[in-house]
Amino acid sequence: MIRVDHVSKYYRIYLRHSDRLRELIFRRKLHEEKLAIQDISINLEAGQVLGVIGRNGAGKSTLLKLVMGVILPDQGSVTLSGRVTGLLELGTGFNPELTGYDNIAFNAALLGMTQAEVAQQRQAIVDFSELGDVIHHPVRTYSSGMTMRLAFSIAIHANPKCLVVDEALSVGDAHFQQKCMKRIKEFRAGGGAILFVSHDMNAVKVLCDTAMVLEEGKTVFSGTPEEAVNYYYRLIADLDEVAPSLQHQQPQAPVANDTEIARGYGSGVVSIRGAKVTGQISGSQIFASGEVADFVFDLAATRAMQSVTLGFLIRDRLGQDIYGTNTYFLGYPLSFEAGERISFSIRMAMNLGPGLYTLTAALHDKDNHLTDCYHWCDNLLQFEVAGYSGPHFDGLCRLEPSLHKIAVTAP
Amino acid sequence: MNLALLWHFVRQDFSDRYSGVALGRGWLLLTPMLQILIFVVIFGGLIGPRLPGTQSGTYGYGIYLVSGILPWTAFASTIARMTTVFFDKRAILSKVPLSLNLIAIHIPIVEGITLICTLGLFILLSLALSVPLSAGLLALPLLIICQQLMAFSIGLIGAILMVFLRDIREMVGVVTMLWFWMVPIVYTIDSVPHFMQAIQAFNPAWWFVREYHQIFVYGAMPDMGNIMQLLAGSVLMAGGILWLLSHSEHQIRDAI
Repeated sequence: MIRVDHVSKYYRIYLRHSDRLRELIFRRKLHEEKLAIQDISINLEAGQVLGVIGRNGAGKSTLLKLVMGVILPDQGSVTLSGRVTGLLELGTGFNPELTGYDNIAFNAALLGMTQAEVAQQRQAIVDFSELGDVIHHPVRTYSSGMTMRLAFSIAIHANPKCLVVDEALSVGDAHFQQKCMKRIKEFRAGGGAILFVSHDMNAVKVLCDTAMVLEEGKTVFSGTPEEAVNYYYRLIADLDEVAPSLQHQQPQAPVANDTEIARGYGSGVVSIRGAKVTGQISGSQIFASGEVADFVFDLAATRAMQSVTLGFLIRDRLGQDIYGTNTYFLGYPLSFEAGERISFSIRMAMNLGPGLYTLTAALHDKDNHLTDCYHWCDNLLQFEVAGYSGPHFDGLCRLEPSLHKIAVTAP
Repeated sequence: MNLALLWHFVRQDFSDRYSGVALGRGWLLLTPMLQILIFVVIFGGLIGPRLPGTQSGTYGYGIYLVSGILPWTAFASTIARMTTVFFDKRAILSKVPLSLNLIAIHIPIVEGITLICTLGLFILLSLALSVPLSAGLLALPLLIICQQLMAFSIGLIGAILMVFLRDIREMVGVVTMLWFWMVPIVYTIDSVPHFMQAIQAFNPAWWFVREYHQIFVYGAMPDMGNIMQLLAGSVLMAGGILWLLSHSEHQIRDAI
């Protein structure tokens, strides 16, 4: 589908435009070379979704442009089979004076559709965009959400072999986003490949089969989406120097053992020495939905520390973030004497749907882990919600509805 | 080459220019109509000098003027717009994989269509003033293709150089203005010093302006051998420039 083979891309930075000409004439190097992409390889097969994450300026956009073919690589090659449509050009080339209906033809032709295809798909495009009669109004009268809806609708109907998606899924309202998501999943199920670039880590975890992390133009990590996201978090926490090489992290024991904890990272001034989860009724790490569970953390400090925050995050088996908070938000700052050990409990009613969950915990400063992170443990604990302590329900969370008959009118 | 997409670009160009305007495409004809009228009536009929050897009588000079200015205008504006075409279209080029050729070639087509419209008006006006027309009109399509192909090639050189030097846009403006006065459009070739006549052999604009004069002013058949040479030259030149374009594609895409 998409083969990117050891591709590198340099940008030549000229301080003055005329330097290009001077360089051509005098054969003297007058530019600086900036490496945008270095030796990146991708092999994306049919039906696969590859996530690309990384900080701003890591080379994500350059990579997408190379794949799209709007810029050419300096080294290596990009091979595509079939039509590649980018959702990054949503709305490019819309003529604001023409109606949405008239714009479909031009935009679709830009994406490579033939006129026969346009004629055939036109109604489907209009229907999917849900613009109704507004489709016959000039595009300049559209809201940005409406424009995006039309653009997405054209792009998805262009029948590509591969989609390149760049942060474009924040299209329209929640209803339309779900529709897009559903359509993208159908597209994948139908054998389409997707290259997905996003800062929405949840979307990456839900949608992607594999993911890669870019940093300074290089692939620094490639693996499962969850690992990649964890790696990325570590990266933005600027803790690369203490980050151990991240191998497969299988969440295992209800009681985190030493090796589990040793895998964490952080400055270590305050650290998590152990953790345990127990359902109050079951007495184990398997408990029923709605049961109260105790998460007990064994914390230790090497020197006196004020206002330390303990944070945690529960994820489901797909790696989706389910619930997370920290003691800072809950108004319970921790302080330590030098060498002190504290056993700390967080007690929660586990109003979660049945399934496997993991808990990631961290010790840090203030409200987030980005500035000062003392200790971060991915997938510290695993637990399972099995069965129900109350009535049956479907879904991720237990909302405990109450039922009332308000009035009865006799027939 | 995706012809449907090319046609879309051409249509888009026209609708970009005149959409949102109440009179719409009417302006496409109104402005040149007025221009032609002014040249023919004022310069030809009222204050115009007599042109020797013409059959068009009183309007001789006006006809001479317009028959040169219309093709020149198309030629010059094709070159000017070609020079900046990649920059003007960078919003699309930086997001959608389109061939540079396709983007470039819609400009001479748009300007060629405009030229056909203005020449059509000119012919109608000539009929109204009962200026005799000749069978030479049949050669017009070929002549238009030749001159637009040449403008395309020259403009494409500008477009490639634009990547290296932004001043090219201004330079093209200055050069075409000077060039206009180097071509016998306002004056006749017989009225200038001998060396000016001699250099016309190397003036590509004169190669086609001369033939428009033949058709409209002298009511004669254009020199077909000449037109064939012009066509061969333009095709060869366009081929060479397109080869150059394919070799500078990398830089152009990086620069926009």
